[in-house]
Amino acid sequence: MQTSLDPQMHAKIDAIVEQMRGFGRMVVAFSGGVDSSLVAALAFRALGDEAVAVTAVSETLASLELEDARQIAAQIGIRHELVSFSELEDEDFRANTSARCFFCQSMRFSQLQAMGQRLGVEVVASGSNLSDLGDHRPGLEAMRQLHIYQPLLEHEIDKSQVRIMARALGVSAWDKPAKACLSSRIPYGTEVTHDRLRRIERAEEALHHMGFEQYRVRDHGGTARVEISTDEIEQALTPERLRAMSQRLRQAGFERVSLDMVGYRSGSLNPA
Amino acid sequence: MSTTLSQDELEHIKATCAEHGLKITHARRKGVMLELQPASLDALPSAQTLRSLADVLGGDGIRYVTLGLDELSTQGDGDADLT
Repeated sequence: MQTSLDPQMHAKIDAIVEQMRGFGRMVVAFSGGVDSSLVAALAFRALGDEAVAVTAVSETLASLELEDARQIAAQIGIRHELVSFSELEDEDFRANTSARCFFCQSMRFSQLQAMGQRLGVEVVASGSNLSDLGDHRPGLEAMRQLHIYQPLLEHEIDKSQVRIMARALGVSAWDKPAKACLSSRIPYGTEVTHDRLRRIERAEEALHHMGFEQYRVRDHGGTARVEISTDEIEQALTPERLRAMSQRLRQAGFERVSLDMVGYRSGSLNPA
Repeated sequence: MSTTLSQDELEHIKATCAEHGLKITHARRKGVMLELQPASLDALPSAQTLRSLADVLGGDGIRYVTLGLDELSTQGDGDADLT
């Protein structure tokens, strides 16, 4: 179901589409989240088959997210490609300092630019939006250094507007909960390893299959601290669900399981 | 790294939890995380009450207040139909 846009948002969409048409061809860094989905939808509107959505597949991308990305790209109609790379080969990334995202995004967007070159495309776009500026986002510096095109940021579109626009354009991801990469579940200073990432992925898949929609499993030295959104946490508080949560997350590889009493909050591992 | 809570600290935490309708058997602190062990998973306080309790117990180096689930998890069928 589409909803109508106010004139200001309409004008922003028109401006972005016009800008994109001027580029002729474009690669969109595509995760399947609402931000990159909006950019992909706008790119397809502007450029049709001259726009390509590219998903960078690495150790920190959950399989469920990749499957989602495929489906959403198909729904938008944009051509969809994958590029694989390894974050874990980079010791700066593995060290997991507060600059982790800078190293990750530098690698990711360098791969996307290389992909673009192979396709004869100069412009690589990301879904960064105005709301990202108020948060701890070292990845934005990486994108700035690589001259990545950030239309939502450039046209001062915040997260709430992204969702409104995506819904109006018929993008199915318009209300999709935010999903950061799996490494964000590991506290700074704790090395990012393949085993830790896969354990987190298995644990979050278990929560997904239990029916939860917004959650994080934070890895505290083998203890899973489970964050469930405030909308859903009440339904988690039955003995059956809590026992199941404990057993399934321990089956996933965690030694202990603990439910965060405040609930899901973005960036809860960021410096206080 | 776990930190052993003193008896006074533990009693204070237990009393604070009881005031909020949560009976606990013990608590443990692991770094910035305080884990409360509920006496039972039945009749837990509401999510809103648990959030308020976390606000009260947080601070002084504690960033996360949690409910430990493991010690009671063998007391039921974890594979029950949850849908």
